Amino acid sequence: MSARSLRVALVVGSLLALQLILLNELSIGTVHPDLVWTLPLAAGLLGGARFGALFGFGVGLLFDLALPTPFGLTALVCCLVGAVIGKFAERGMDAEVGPMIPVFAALSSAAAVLAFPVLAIVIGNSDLVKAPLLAIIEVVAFTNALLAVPVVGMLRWAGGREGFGTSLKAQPAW
Amino acid sequence: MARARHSRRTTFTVVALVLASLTILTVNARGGSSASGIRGFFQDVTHPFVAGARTVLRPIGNFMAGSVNYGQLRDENARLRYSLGKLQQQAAINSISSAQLTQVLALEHLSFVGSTPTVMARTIDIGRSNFTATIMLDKGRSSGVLVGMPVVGSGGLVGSVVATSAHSATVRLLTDASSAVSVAFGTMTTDQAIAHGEGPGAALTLLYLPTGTPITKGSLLLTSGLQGGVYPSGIPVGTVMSSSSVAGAGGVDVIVQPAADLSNLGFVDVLQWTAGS
Repeated sequence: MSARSLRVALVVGSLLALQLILLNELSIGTVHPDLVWTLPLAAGLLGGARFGALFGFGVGLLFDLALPTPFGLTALVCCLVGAVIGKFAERGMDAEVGPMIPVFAALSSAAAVLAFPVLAIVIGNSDLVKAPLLAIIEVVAFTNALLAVPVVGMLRWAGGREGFGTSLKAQPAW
Repeated sequence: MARARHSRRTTFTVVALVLASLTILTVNARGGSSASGIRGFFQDVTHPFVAGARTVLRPIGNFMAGSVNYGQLRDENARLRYSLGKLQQQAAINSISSAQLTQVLALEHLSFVGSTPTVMARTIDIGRSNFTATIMLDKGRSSGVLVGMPVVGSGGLVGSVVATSAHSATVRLLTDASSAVSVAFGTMTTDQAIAHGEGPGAALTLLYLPTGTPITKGSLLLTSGLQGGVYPSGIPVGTVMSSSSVAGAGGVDVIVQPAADLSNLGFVDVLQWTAGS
């Protein structure tokens, strides 16, 4: 296992621990922050669509282990978030996007929260639509806007000098 | 050329991953046990670390809350709420005359209510997902907690066990959108309906009751014991908050406040009761 893989595992493990130990305890009403959506965002921005999708899928499966929702659903949504954000990044938004990361995080988190129950319907589970979606979007989008910059920074550190090199663009400039 | 090849490769990867996700979801939805087994293993491995870290971090949180003894007081408060809930549960059951209760129990041959063995468990996690209403308990298969067992606490029914590992269990609360409980009400508790969960934090509902159903604000709903024996009978489920006519349908929708205080579930009892037992 390369040093880069170890650093990536360390970052993902730390963020999973942060979610389970701290963020799950910080509920506002019945809603708590959910940083899982920031990981495919960071991967897409740093590595492009293919890396974003692969990383999102893997991270989603890991978080699925800790969640009571249908197994594989988080992986599916994370995969799509990583691919879409990565596509934007490949089209030239990555170099100048630094100050816009919180905005992208809020928008992609809101989209992920909406996609989650909608995709669940596809597999025949319509119960998740009854969740308080508006409250979830407010809390998750706001907290992920705050968390996204450090998460992107951590993943960029994990990528080291070589980065995640699947993007057609050069290394992000921010 | 390179860009086109890269684009095709990316599209192929994303499609393959989406298909893989859908396959996993479908296999799991059809009752595949591998995912629950892996999840159980994951819970058993991570639980000690998560619990330990929370124990270490708790004093910091307590300090920030401005009270040195806050943690002990919170634990004591949770225990007192648990005891109070048990008393409220008993009082609610007693509010229906014992003669009626005896009659109902005799009718349904459910004489085991009240003697069911229980496992007291501590809630170690509340609402891991924003989309479901679940809690996690610190007792699992090694303590005799099995999938399907009812969970009670703080005044009434809390939910049922939906997944277990060796040392933990996941409980689906009444308020979860996939929860449905057969309830009985009325002077002789002979009228029945299904109480549906409406998502985390929301009240329960009884939908499309026939007009004239004898149900009023404050009515107590108990588990009916029917529904294929998912729950034993006689456990308080909730009290009626309001009812409203359904326009054009000739029926009544009823909003029900859960009898259990689902926002304070420090400790609960798992009834070692399974369907058919």
